[in-house]
Amino acid sequence: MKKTNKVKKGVASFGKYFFMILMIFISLAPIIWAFLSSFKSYAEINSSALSLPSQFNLDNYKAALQYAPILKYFMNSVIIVGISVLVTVALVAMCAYVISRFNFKLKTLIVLLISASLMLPAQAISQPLFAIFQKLGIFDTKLGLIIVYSAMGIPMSFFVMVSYYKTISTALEESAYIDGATFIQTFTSIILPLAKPGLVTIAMIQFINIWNEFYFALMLTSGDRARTVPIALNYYMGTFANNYSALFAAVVMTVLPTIVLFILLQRQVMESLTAGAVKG
Amino acid sequence: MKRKIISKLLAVALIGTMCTGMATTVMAADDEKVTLSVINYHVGTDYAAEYYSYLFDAFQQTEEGKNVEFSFEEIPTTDAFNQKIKLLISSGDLPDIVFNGGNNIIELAAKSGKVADLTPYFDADEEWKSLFDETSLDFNTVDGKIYGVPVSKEVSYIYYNKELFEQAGIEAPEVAYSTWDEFFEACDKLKEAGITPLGMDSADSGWLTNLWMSALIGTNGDAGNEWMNTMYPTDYNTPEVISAAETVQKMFQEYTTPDAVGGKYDPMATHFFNGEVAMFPNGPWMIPDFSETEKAPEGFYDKVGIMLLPGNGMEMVPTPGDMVGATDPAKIEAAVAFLKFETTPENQIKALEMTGLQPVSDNLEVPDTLSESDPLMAQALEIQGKAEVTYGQNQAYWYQNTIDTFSTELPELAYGNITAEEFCTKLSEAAAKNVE
Repeated sequence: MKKTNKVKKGVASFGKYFFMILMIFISLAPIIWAFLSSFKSYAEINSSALSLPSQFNLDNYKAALQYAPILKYFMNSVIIVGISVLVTVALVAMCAYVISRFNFKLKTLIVLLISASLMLPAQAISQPLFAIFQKLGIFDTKLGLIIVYSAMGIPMSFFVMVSYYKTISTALEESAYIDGATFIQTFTSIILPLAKPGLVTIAMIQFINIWNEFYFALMLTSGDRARTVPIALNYYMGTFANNYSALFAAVVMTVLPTIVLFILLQRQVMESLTAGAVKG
Repeated sequence: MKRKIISKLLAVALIGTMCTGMATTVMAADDEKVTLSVINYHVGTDYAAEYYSYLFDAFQQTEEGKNVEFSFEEIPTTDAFNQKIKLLISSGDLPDIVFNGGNNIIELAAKSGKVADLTPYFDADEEWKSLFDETSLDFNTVDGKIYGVPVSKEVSYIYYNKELFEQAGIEAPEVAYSTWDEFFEACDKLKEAGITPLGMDSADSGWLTNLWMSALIGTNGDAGNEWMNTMYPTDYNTPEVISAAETVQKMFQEYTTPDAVGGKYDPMATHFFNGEVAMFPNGPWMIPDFSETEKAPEGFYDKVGIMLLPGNGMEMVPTPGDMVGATDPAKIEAAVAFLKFETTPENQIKALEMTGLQPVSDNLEVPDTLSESDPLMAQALEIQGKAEVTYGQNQAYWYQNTIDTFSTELPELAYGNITAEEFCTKLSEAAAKNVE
């Protein structure tokens, strides 16, 4: 009997680890593949996608830096994405809280308007934005892109946060009010700390979306002042003249921050993803 | 006290105004300087990046260009460029010199009224006008007015690996196989020798397969040739197109690499560079790659031969030209001067040497040095004069959604999931959406 249990446990444990290793492999394989490809020559990449590089040197990285102002665009991305994420999170944290907790006139209309903005394709608003930004003098500026990206992130983040706030018990706020806390104190001292995992989640989603955004970064800029990493990656993709080796090197250089950020914030993200299920 | 402060402020304001006035005067004295805005997609790894960098610098050394300065916006890749230029056409914020990124935007730009009519400049300079043939100028004409200055022509041939032909015991024709039957006999011999005969692809609009299919249609009698020289065809269910689709299906199934279905241009080009396929259709812009050791093995250039498509056929399409978006007369003059400089016979040859861009002018005097420095390019120039049949290709002449359908349905055709007739019906249906 004991032996059977041991076998069962062994099989379960094997299954568990096999599944985990498989997941790790699926997640890491593209990153490792891109990393290895960043050391391969053009011919090696096109001959066999899965072969190992014949040598490890930094020539492709040097070429990547030579073809495109990748470091300048990288810094632009850091500034634009960083501020946009902060703005979105700050606005959504407050807006979603009010919507999730209070009933007031025009609430439905506000929610509807925010939902409607999800349906707007980028191509439909690019020309009006282009004209407005030129009039306001914020075309080809970081500020212009920050405004667009912050606004773009609001609808999705808003719905995530409204759902998240609903998982936090109202009894906590009622107790705080009974103890004499003001609305602002209750929000900043009680609710926001509890909502941290949700806020981190929307920050992550927003970060990844903006970090990879290409269309507006192209349409609303004209020079190096405000252009971001996705535009830089296009420098390696000329007509009949792709330089995949340099492209992979550039991808490795620019994808690293996203990975590092996720590693740093993964605990909060996991908490937020499971919090709703636990609190029911 | 207050008065003193006010008078001091007024004095400062006056001095400030004078300074501004002086600055204006200085600028006025220097008013011959013209700054032209350009959106340049020949950047990064673009095949013509080095040439255009040379061209802008060289223009500024000329009498017409010595007072011209350029203000560049770089947009890497023609796809991104085309997206942006369409937005700028509709918003009316075009750069002074509007490069053409392959998509035919001449009509869109001309009808928006945002680009200059260049007809008077052509009429006033007969020598310049004579550099262009009628077809090239017609291609850039909208409602009787010329808006674009074509800078090249698009031609393509078959490159073949001489070593592989030798291995299979095949003697390559001097100019072309006279019929497709002879061509496929050679393919069979290559197969028997264990060599994959043809380079093909299907992804990213299926460029290589498009060249094979255009040739099959364009060399199939007068009807096929006329069809393949028609702009925006809508009926693909013609005997010539169906027959070409049948042959393409056979080529996928019997004569190419397994990764051609779903494959992109680059890996297929690498097959050719590595001697894994014997024949590869493409334009002269590929020639510089043959000697680039990053892409092809050392000595590969010497292994490559050129022939026309069977039946002495050659794809040849005029290209949409560069336009002038400037509105200020001085800027228009400067922009036209640049476009004239871009199309001088010397610069057309320079472009040919540096990028493989085919000269737009016929009968240019090719320098003797070319046959020594780049014999393959010289041979390409020579062989195209022997073409008896010329035709267009789908990326230049078909509706965009039909080009997309061609690419997405090719795997279905290749795997035999649809017949050639069904393939053509799908193309007709896609084309019909543009005329409903």
